[in-house]
Amino acid sequence: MLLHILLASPFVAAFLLALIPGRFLRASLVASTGLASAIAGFALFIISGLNGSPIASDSISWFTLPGTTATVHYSLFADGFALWMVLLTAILVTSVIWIGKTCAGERYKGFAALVFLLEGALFGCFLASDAVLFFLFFELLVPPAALLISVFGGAGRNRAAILFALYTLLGSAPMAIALWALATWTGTTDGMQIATALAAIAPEKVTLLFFAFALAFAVKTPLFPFHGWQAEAYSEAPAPVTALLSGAMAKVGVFGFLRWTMPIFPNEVVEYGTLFILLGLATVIYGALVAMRQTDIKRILAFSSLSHLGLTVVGAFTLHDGAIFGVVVMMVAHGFSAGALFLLAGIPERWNGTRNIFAFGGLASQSPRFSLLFMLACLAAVAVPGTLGFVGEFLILQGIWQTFGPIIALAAGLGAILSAAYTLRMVQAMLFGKATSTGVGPEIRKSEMVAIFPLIAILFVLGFAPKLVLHSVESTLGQAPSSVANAIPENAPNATER
Amino acid sequence: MYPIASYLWLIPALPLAGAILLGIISQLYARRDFGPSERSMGILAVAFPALAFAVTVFFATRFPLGESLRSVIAPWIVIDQVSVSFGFLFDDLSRIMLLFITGIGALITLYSVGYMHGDRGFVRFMAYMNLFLFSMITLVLSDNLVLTFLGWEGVGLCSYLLIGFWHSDPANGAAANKAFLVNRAGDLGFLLGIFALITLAGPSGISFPELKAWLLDPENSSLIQGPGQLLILLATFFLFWGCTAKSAQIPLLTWLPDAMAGPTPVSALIHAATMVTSGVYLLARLSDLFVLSPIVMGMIAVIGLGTAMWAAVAGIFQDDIKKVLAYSTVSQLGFMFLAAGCGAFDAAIFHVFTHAFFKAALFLGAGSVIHALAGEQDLRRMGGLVKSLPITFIILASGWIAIIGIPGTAGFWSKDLILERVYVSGPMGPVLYFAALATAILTALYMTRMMVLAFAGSFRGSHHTKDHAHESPLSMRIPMLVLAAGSLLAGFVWAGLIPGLDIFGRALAPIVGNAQHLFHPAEHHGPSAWIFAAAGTAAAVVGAISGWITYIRRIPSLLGAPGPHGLAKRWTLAFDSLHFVFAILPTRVAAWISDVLVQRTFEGLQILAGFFVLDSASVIRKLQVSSLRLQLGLTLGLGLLISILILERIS
Repeated sequence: MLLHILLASPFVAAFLLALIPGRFLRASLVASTGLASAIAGFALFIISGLNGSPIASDSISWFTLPGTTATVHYSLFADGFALWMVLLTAILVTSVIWIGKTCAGERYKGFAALVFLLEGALFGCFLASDAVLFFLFFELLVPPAALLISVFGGAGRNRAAILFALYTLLGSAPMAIALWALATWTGTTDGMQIATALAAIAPEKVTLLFFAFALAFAVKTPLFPFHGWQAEAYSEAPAPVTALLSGAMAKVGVFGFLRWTMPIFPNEVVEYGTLFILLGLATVIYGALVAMRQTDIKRILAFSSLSHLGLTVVGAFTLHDGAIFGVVVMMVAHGFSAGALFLLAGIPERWNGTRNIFAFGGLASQSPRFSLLFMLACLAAVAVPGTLGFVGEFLILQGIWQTFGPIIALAAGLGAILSAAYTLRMVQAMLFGKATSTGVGPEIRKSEMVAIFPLIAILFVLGFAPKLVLHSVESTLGQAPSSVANAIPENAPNATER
Repeated sequence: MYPIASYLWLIPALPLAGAILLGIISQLYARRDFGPSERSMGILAVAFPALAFAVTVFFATRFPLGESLRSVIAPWIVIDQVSVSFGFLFDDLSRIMLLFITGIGALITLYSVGYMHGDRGFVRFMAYMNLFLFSMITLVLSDNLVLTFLGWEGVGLCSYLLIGFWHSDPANGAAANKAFLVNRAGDLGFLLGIFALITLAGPSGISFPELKAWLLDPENSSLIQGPGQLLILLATFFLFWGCTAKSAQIPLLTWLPDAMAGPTPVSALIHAATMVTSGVYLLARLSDLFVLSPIVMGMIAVIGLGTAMWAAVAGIFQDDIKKVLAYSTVSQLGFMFLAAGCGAFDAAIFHVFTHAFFKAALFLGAGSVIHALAGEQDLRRMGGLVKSLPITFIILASGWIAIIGIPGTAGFWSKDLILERVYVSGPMGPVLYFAALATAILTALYMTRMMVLAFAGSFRGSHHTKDHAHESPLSMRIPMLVLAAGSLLAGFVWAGLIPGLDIFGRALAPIVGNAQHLFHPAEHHGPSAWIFAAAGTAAAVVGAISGWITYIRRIPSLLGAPGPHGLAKRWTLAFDSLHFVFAILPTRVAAWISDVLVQRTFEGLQILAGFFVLDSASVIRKLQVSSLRLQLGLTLGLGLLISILILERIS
């Protein structure tokens, strides 16, 4: 029951918001902030009550997939991994809703409603235990995200929105077909049952289905060379939306790999794992190298996201227990740090009307509060020990060493050096050097501090106490032996009914 | 056994509290026209390191030599395969390290209260200094590799913040970036070393006492001698790689001379006395591991000696007083690595200890000169300062006789011990010994050159700066005098020639004795210790006299471009060029290819495709994005459906 309420709450929030007349800006601001915080609090409440075993909702049969005998169920499932993704989303949404009035202005109500819809779709992706239900939510991510870009974005917003929609669509269309084929062949759409039933299907067909699934997630994450939409969408979307896209939505890709691809296609994951390791490594290095040459702050952060999430994919495909813990930790860490950095990046853009890092200088002495937050967020992004990112990178890299040896670990570790290189380049250009004007500069607003500081504080608190993440993830990943088949068990019968 | 162990966390927590408090105060005043009172902030800034020193002394005097305190306060990263805790180990090695880190740290913070007087970033500077001390204490007090790594990256971060402290000058920012990146490159080595140890010893590979026990456990000897050899080689190689960056050894040494862009107290504390010696600390801490890998031990000795010689030559060419000291630090660190590589870990740590005193005294003295001459760092514009700055002269002179090794001074005892141990270390010992002795002559030469240029003759700068010249305030003089006394006397804790004065060596025996015994099963007998002492003294005297003769007459009167030129420049910047050719240029080329050739082409194609889609369907554009999705989705879906059905029919 709790999960049903959790999933429904963002949609209810969007609906309630629609009831407020548009001219009451203040009311919609207060209402949406209250609702978003309530949802985040609720997610926190559920995660703190998680005592080792996952939660599953009762399953309601919904409809029979046309042309098959499979019945689609409306059923939800949550373990520590899924709930941390939900909590990450809910906290980011609260910050974004709170800060959103700076970019949405008069149209704030529509902005908030779309953000809640996106939140709902994200919750659905993280909580669905039926493959078709997951896919529906996966597709439902696109309209609010594309609208948020095309309505509230910068100069190239329409092109960015269409590019984003097209890529995601082209990526997920094969998955739709694959799902339909799976339902036809196995007669079920439940994740676990598909996995067992697939053993009887010819391997060539299964391979095809595996790639259909993997493509959808590779576009969503994204992985090189499926990243064409990313830099465009991230830089054209308003900063709070980018924070959500990169902080929360990109996680659905990696989540999909771990939660759906790996348990359903264990043999293919082993057989073609090397391909994804290589793509992941290429993404790590390529993203970092391109980031080193960008001058647009949002594009730097976009390619940095590309690079960091590439490492999580490498970690996931090592199939090493420790590394998979690291992947979850790094997803949480990247969610908060990328979210904070994108939110921060929007602030100097508002001051000077440009995103070129070389148009700034000396902010450290002119805007000390902004600079402090920016510096802390950058430290978290380059995974300095004491931040959560370090725990993630440490566990992933050691897993890579254990499974693939020193050379691959060294290659993946190069990303850490390069990430320091492009991050410091950005810090030096913006915070240091001669100030562009004399006297006291513009400063981050109090309301922005309230929205951004908690994200950074979480990274440092969890950096010293990663146990909070590791412990709740243990409930599902902890028993996972190296074989993929049970790497991500989500056996509904074992779960406690709530 | 010792219940006080559970309070060990106080030592790092004190400067951390100071850093947070001062950081908040600095932020509160950041947007005002004036900062808070320097007097009260100065007291706060010195109080936390001084308290940490007091607590360290309290602990250090509570239990006898050979025993250790250990306290695990909380779990950190705990999963099935890896278990890391916030644990502290206070044994004889960390006892020695902590005593001088907190002691010298408190003194140098006191010095900076005077040195940074009137700087608008006064409080921020003090916050960074406290944060640095927290990281450095964590580095040496940690009982496991990962927490040491936290300190290791923490000191690197503080070094970055302090080198770039005056950040409105882009050159300082560039130097800071270089330091951070070179250190990051080393940190990757450190991490990979940890992974090798986890692979080798499993969960025991992370904590120092457990790793030591694992390595000494007879049950594991067949693994260590057999299939584990490769992992031990990798672990020691990668960890040593990490050390070369932090301790500025070949090839990752280029950042340290540039790091002199930071305020002088930073150079004294971080880039001379403490942080840069962490590499030597790590070697001593893991001595039981390193001795298992003779190849890497040989590499350490050769790289240490090579660095010592290369930097000593570079030191002769520098005209900037701080650069002379920077290369001198690199060179002295080379001596420490040479000792460690020859299996004399205790001698290496002893040199870390004495070097902390005399190099800090030298840097603070140089800072006093710079302070007196209103920021002048060029030796060619100094001269004759002995008259106007007598106290500063006495301080620099104590450091000078200590570093060149005049008998009785701190540097004499530790350098003599290193040279002696190198000689008896094995068949290559005499070769390494004579090369090191030649480097000792060079050391005396470039240090004497610095002293002659700064203090002898007559003043060569502008009249304005001459009138300005004055002795430093009391807050700067007290720390300098304490450190100068240390450079003369600190060596008597292990005066090898005097029986009974060897408490330092005995304290380290439980930590490194086993490894040293393993490395030299039989005691090699060289010539008498008095002969080594005489040879070392002769080297110092020869170097000093030739330096005096050479430079008293050839004081450069012409002021050319700042910094060395010609052959001197090529020598000094040799490793910068190598970094450029082998690391920076390839990265730039790869980045150019990725960005310009791949990414832009990619984006260009996307725009083309976009035009095609949008122009052929301008009607669709008018509809909402979702309709576009639906249309294309159906088309594509249908196509794929058909292809799958066909595939199914075929199979």
